[in-house]
Amino acid sequence: MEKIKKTLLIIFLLLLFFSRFFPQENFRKFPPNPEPFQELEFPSEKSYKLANGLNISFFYRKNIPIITLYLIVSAGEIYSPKNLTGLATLTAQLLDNGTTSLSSERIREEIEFIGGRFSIKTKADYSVITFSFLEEYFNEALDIIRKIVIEPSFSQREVEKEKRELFFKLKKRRLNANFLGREKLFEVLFPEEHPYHYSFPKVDSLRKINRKQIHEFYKTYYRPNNSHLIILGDLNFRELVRKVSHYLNIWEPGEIRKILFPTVETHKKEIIYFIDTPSPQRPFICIGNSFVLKNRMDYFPLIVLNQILGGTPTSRLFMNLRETKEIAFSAKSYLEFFKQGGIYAIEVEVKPEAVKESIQECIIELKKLINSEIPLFELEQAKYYLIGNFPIQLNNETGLINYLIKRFIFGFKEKIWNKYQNNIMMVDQQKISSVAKKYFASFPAIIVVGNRKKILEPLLDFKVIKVYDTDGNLKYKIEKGIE
Amino acid sequence: MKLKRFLLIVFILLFLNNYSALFSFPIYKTKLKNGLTIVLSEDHSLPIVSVLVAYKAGSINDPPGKWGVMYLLQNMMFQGSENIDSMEHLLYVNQAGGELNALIFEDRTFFYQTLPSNYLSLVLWLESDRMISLRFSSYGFEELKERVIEDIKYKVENQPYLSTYFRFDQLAFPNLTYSHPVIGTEESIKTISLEDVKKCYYSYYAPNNAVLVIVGDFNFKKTIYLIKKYFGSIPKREIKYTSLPTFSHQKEIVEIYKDAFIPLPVIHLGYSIPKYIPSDYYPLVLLEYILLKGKSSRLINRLIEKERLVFQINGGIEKKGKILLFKIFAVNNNILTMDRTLNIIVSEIDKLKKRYISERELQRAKNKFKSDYYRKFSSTLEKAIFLANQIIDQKSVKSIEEEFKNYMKVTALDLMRVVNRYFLSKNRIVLKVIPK
Repeated sequence: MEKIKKTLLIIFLLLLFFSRFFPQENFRKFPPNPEPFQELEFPSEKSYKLANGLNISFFYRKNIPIITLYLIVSAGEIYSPKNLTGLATLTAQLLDNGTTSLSSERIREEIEFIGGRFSIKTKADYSVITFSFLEEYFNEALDIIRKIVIEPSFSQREVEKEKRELFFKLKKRRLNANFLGREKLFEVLFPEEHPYHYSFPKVDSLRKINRKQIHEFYKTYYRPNNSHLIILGDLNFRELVRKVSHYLNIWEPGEIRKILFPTVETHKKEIIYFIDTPSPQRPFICIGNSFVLKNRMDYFPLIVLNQILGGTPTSRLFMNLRETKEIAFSAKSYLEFFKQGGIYAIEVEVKPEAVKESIQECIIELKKLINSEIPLFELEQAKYYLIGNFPIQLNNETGLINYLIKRFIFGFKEKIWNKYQNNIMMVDQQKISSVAKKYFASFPAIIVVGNRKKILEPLLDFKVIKVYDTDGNLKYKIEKGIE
Repeated sequence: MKLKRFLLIVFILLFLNNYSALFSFPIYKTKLKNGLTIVLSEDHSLPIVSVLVAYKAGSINDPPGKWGVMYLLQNMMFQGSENIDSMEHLLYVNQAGGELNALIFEDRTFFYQTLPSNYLSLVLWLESDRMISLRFSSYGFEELKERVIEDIKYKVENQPYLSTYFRFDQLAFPNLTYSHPVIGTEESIKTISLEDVKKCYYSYYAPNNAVLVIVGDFNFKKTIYLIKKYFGSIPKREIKYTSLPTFSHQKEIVEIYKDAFIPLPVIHLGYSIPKYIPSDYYPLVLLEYILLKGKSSRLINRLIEKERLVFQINGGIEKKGKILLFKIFAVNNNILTMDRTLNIIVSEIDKLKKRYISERELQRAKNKFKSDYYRKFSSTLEKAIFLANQIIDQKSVKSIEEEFKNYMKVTALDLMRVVNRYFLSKNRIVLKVIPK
């Protein structure tokens, strides 16, 4: 008995010793199953409207002792007169360049003294002031905001200085292929009488802008009843409202001028809009079309559809053009929503010899969305990505604010965001197929940015090519079969 | 259940490790038997988790002449391991809605991902598999090298000043161990073999040379169990020690050259600081804020806002191994005013040698530093990166608050002392690059 015991012990010890040389542990062979899914509540919002019409939304955030203010004013580039593009951008940029009581230098110093980061951005629909600072300086920050928003001086000296700086920024931007492609896409998708045609300021019209026009624009649009203040931080809401009211209730409301949005026809013809750049940079292709959302709930199947097409590196465009065919360096698609309608766009950076093939592949991928049913497995993967990624987006401030801006501009109520994951879950093959046919069926605009001498020739097979210079001027047109 | 969780958190906070009052989050640190350092920090505000594996190796571990091996290795980590096929790591994380990336520096490499917290075990499975059994197949290796070379070319083409940075580093750190580009060069990448990459993997990518940081919404007990399951049996490896050269500059270095690819003339200016002394490091960081952070900082205010001599100016203190360099980079409006720009930079530094800075200016620098410091904890991923850096820099995670207070204690006298000690002409390196 003792002998058997001893033998067994030796066998056991030997097994133990040699186990390290055995093949790998079993659990390494297969991925573990995930834990049950956890539902997410969108960060809860408290809101209040001041007597002057300023909407305040507060989101509690406790992880860092920093407060962030976002003041969104419906004063984007679409509100600039057609012959004065850039007026909205210039007005916004001048806000912190001096007030009736503080010089621009002093404002900068005061912002930085409270550990502040300050920026102003102008998009097509709105301008947004972003201001974050140490929480112990809430009063000082509100005082700075008050002066900047209510008492800007727009001095001649600062106007000239800002115009010069914006001029160089706009010039520099024209060296960027992605920008040129995007600008042209907006120009061809929205007709000349449409405000979104003028989403990006032009150098030429900047020269025409004067101090009086800036002042007039400011007086018209920078009103509390045309603005929304979002605050993130560890604050008591009542106290917050009291303080904001103390500093901003003297901001006078005004009548807001409405702008008209003419009906937009989607792009239908096969045309290549070719921007000829002298630099040897990688060719850039931008393909897209406009849409008007017929039903707000179409938003959810649309974002699932975009995820399938090109939302991430595991989507169709990247897998096809970069991984399988190896003709592109990057390939993605995105959706952009405006107050009125929106656009979808595909952006691809390609090898010079593969411009034509890349365009063809993108068009094939778009057609596949319309003509073939999305496999269930692929649909579920896209939905899982969006559901899982939503809380990650909310984890950083930029992601959260992007959703909030979308919500305020786009008009989605809190309840819809709270059911974001549920709304994605409800998307099925039928809904996907329906939105694909509804919004992706027309032939899109194709923009190519690159060096004409190197990449234009293979494109001559397309029906029409319009060639532009980098300032956006049409140089000539090539039609297939016409000399 | 809620009570249990609450009690567990209280237990962690009170007994297991430390809890910072100013930086109010729990941190738990431990080490597995195989030497893997573990840092955990719970944050239940969103159902997500960030997982970061940091290896204490970077470009300074490239074998001489084989510049870029460690960068290639970083890329190889996505090419598959024993149980995971090429690019599957990305697919698994992406399908869960997660995001991932990798970063390489001179002395460290990070692999990180953020994903819904119910997928924590998946990431641990993925990360442990590539730590234990990275696949080295010659299939696809040449294509990978081609992609890296393509990336290098693209970066050089699209960042016209990049080559001037490389040249300046060679002047400031006269040993290629420090000064070669982290991503290597086109020529050096071509010479690298699969065997070179493999050697580096087995020399540096081991549990006893790594830190695993998890921040976010996880169950503490279960996570410890999972870490032990996936990482506990990975064997230790012998870590190859790279001896780092030390040197000090004995006299000022000035070099001027012409470059056909830069659109505007640039100045690189540096002051070499031969030894890392903590009590000097804190004022040097604040000096960066006084001179170069924010529009009201001295150099930005004078050279961009007032005199408009430069388009862009930035810089700060950089640490490579134990050697430090205070760097300034300025893009000038034109060639004729380059000397004036240089004189102003030097004269602004000289002012700090003779005159104390005002209380308000010092407070402004501290407040700006403070808000930047706080922002390092603003997301689960940023917190994970911060904690990994703390460990690699051999700072205790217990001392975050103390460390922070050291910056807040800096006085005007400290600033004057460090400027007088280090900002000497013999420590200065100047590189002027003029467009051809």
